[in-house]
Amino acid sequence: MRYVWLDERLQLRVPDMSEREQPKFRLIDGGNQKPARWLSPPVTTLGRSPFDKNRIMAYRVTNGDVQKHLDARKRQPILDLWWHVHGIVPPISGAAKFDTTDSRGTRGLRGAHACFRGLMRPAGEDDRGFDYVAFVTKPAIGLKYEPSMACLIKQFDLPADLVFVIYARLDFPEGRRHNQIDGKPPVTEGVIVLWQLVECDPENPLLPIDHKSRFRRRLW
Amino acid sequence: MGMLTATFGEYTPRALYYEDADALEYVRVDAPVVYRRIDEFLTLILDLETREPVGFKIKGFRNFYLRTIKSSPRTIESPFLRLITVLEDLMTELGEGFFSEAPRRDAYQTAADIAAQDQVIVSDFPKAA
Repeated sequence: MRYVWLDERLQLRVPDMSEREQPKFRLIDGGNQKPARWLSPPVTTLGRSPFDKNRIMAYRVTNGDVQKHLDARKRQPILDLWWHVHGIVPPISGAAKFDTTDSRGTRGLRGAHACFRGLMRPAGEDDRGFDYVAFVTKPAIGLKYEPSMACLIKQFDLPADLVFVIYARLDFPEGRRHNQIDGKPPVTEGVIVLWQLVECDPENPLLPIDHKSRFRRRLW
Repeated sequence: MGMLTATFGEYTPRALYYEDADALEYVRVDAPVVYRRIDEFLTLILDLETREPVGFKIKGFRNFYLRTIKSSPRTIESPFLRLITVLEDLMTELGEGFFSEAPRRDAYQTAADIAAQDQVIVSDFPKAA
């Protein structure tokens, strides 16, 4: 410490270099790097209408819950969303090889073979979960995060006793009428809120176990 | 690979409330898992291969939280809420008769064991109506 004489009333206190607070460098994770593309999955997807199996509709994907997965650093739900809901391989270097014409099983909401209505449990504002539908697919292959020299993800065979269930909350639970002005049918059906693997019915491996008590009724 | 790790980081298990799904979920691993429905409130989360429990999900959590937990003196007094407390409150509300079936009772016990062993704290709550 040293003092610099300014005048008879004022001295300036000057710390030595050793006393000065040293600037601290901090590592900022991901600074100046664009997030990987596969961490921003599409916000809409195509699937069958619960009211008409042959009609293809658009569904929005829950924004808040996807962000929550990302904030928690959960990769698996995001991979499942790409593969089992959108039905496409996530844009990861080296993953295009998984996009083969493997005829085993179905993948993606568009490949759903069954649809149930009613969750038989409260969900948010819906005391009976009646405004929810569940689409069932039977995928044979899954993707998981397992980094190697070739790729971040790995393909694996799913056990045969599983089905994949995709839940959507309907915008218009009773079915939306055609647009009164232009007469065109509606484009979107609802929001995909949940997607997960569940065990299948031992008597019908294409349907979820306990589907009679799990859902209110089967639509198709 | 390095870039992704740097930008995304690793998963640290914690209880998360999913607003659109209306479920409070705790899972130990970020890997493929199977969801086994126990009843309208509880789902166990199982390892894909071994089918050993690795977590659980409390469904319809919003209503239960706003009605039972949020106003509880224990919640108001405590600076944090333990997941085991949430499960205990849920089991208390369901009552003894609800647990007459052994598989269901065992499933709730499994969930409670996971919450207790991992000392899970809940800090992610539904928004008030």
